[in-house]
Amino acid sequence: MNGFNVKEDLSLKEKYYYKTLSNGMKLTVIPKELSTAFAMICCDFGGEDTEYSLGGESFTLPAGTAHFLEHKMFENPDGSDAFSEFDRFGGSANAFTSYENTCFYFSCTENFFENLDILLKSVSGLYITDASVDKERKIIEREIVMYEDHPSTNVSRNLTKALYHASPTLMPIAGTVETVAEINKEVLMRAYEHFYVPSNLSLCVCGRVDGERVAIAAESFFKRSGDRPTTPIKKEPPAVVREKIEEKGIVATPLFSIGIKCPIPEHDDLRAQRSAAAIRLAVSLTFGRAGSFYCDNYAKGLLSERFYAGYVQNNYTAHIVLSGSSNAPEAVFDAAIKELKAKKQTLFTEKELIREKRAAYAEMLTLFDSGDDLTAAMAASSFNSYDEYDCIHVISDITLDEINAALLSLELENSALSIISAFEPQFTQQEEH
Amino acid sequence: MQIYFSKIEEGVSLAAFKTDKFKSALMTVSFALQLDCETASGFSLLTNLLSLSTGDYPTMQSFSIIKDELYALGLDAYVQRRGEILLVTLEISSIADSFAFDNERVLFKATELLGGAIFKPCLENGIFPEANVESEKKCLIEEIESEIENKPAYAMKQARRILCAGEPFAADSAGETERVAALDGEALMYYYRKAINEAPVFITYVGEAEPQYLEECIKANLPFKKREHTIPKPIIHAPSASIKRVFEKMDIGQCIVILGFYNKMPENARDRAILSVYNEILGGSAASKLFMNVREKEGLCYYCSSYPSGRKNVLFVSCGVEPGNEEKAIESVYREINAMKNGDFSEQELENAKNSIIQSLNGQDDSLGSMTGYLLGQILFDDAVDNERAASLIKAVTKADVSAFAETVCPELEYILGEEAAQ
Repeated sequence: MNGFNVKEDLSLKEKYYYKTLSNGMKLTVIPKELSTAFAMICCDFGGEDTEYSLGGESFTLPAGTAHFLEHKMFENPDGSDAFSEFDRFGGSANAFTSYENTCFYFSCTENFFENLDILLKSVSGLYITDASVDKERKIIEREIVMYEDHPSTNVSRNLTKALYHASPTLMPIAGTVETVAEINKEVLMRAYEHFYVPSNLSLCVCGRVDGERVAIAAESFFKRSGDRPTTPIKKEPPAVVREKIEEKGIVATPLFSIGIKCPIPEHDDLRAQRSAAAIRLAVSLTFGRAGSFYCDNYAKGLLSERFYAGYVQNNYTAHIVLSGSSNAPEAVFDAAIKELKAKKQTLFTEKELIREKRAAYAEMLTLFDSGDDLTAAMAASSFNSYDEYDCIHVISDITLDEINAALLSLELENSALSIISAFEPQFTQQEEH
Repeated sequence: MQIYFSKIEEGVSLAAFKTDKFKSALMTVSFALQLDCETASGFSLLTNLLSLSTGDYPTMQSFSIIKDELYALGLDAYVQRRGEILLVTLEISSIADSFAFDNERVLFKATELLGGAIFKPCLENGIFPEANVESEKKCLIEEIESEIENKPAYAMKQARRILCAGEPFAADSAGETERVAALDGEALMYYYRKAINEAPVFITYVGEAEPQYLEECIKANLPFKKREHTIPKPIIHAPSASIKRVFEKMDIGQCIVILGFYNKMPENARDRAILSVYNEILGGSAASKLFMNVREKEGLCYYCSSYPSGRKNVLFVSCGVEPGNEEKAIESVYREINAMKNGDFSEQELENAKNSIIQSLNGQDDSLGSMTGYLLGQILFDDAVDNERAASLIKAVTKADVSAFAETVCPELEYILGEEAAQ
């Protein structure tokens, strides 16, 4: 393909083409022999971007602005909806907002370029009125309340509150009913003008797609230029805010979420990914299904199938998370800290590492089996200096010393526990005919 | 799309899709039984025990270690429902042999472990060990009770239970807490024998393995004996003369409204094609009437979708609304149901819906999960048609077909989960 760079990985039997278009937009083309073709536009603007600078000026946004914009992007100038247009061409479209970015996508088995034009047209212009913003606010309020009714969302949100002093992830991605009340047409227009510039957007397509034609289409829809906004680096102290947060909720068994805070890397580069991979492997070895911590505590009835152990790292957060349900969440917390202290003494063995690396390799391979997940991952990684291929090789290269160093570096006093305990729900049924 | 069908034994069917699209493979073994309130708990608990350990790997840790060594082999067991059929399913998801190091025969080893879980479970004195049974009972009870955490799913289950009371369809495939509590190792052996020795078996496979290698793995590791191929038929839900209103109080910020409807029983592939088109126009996508009108136009909810059953004649509509707006939402949904009856949808909407369904049929072979579901349907139901035929049936659906079907859709249940009953 003319003017494209190519990256090929023979061991993975995968390759992709990439280039920066004349308008500044990043384009990735993943050729795959699939019946379905996928396309995703990713804007480097997410729930965490509530403070930013552009052209020497500083701006703030109410929490939930990126998500609100996502809701309005599929609206046409005549008030109609792009979903109906996608429907005409058999495209299945949707969008989502994360803390890092906002993504708009479709998949189809026919009419790829008709659907791509609808996607590009939708994201290249914002058509809103005061009335349409007011109506959307009601829908978003329903969405926010829906998530607030979900105890698993609350247990995880409370953990963030216990761990972080200044992270923008303290606010939900969709904001709160109060913050979305502050979002109006002007706020949305300004955020759109600042963030939806081609240099802050990436486009990724996957399937049997003509990449050169995609490049022409993307250049024709996004003609304006502009600098990318920059977001401030917030210093997060290592200590937690509170050691414990407990709240009541409609749960059968108390839910818990344990967090162990880690240093947030200053730059999101491959080195940071390698450190993250070392912590992830250390967490899997300590708390995974094949470890004695899980099996022993499952047998004791302290843990259930719902137990999850992982590591979260992004621009404003870095912590190990252990979550699940238990009638004795404090005992799980104590046992987890004790387990890590013991592991720090014994350290991991080469045999354990080989097993865990095999498991991690197999799990990462599954990304390539899902066209939509792969498209999403590659669209988001367009803004990074590394990609998903690199991340797989990081796993195979990592050494026992690195895993043990990651384990030893954990500061266990910087940990917190969030609990949602049960209150007796009043179930009464009334029937009438 | 080249699908390989084989009769492994009388009553044991295989459907496989050989493809190089994926770096992993998915195999399922399903035992088809009658869905029933009385037995669902036993089969549900059985799946917990079968995925916990095997005779060769009797502890959870030893079983987990061997799976991790086999490239994090996923070996799960669960129950699922197809209309009024209960499927006890064991599933292995493994890395494709060609991506393993040192030319390992991962599929063979994975089916060996699967065979261990099915034919050589961990037993003590001929029954499931009491400690395992008690711990899994506790887990399953917690799992069932935890369903209240997901309010829309809980509400849907309650609505199904109320609308289809007295029918197998009302049964919860996960089981009921009281019935789970009453089970012991002895009782579980009854469910084990019933599933493993008597129920018809349906095996699906999606991955790179050649049919010959696949059959070698199955014959060596899954030695099923012959059995009758009898599939339970659904009971037709009888229409009701009145609409039942049920309010359930729960301290939540958003009311969940579930409306239950009777519809004509889809009797063949053509009927199911018409039902699919009807549902796509009504509430099956973001371009549907329910989404466009109840959510987008009236701003009453964040979601509003319809859920039909291809193997049972009931349909549900679910939406989450602001307290106080329940009546408005119900009226609004009925308006769209009536619009369908009145043929108030354009030829363009009809064509879009058909196109959308056909495109999703065409894309099924890009997903391990979707393809597995498709293969299972092909061997489970005698009247199943392949995607090509399904697409031609969808294409042939007319506005008159959809309207005629819409005429049979009648409201029977208004279920509201919320803080207080609407005045």
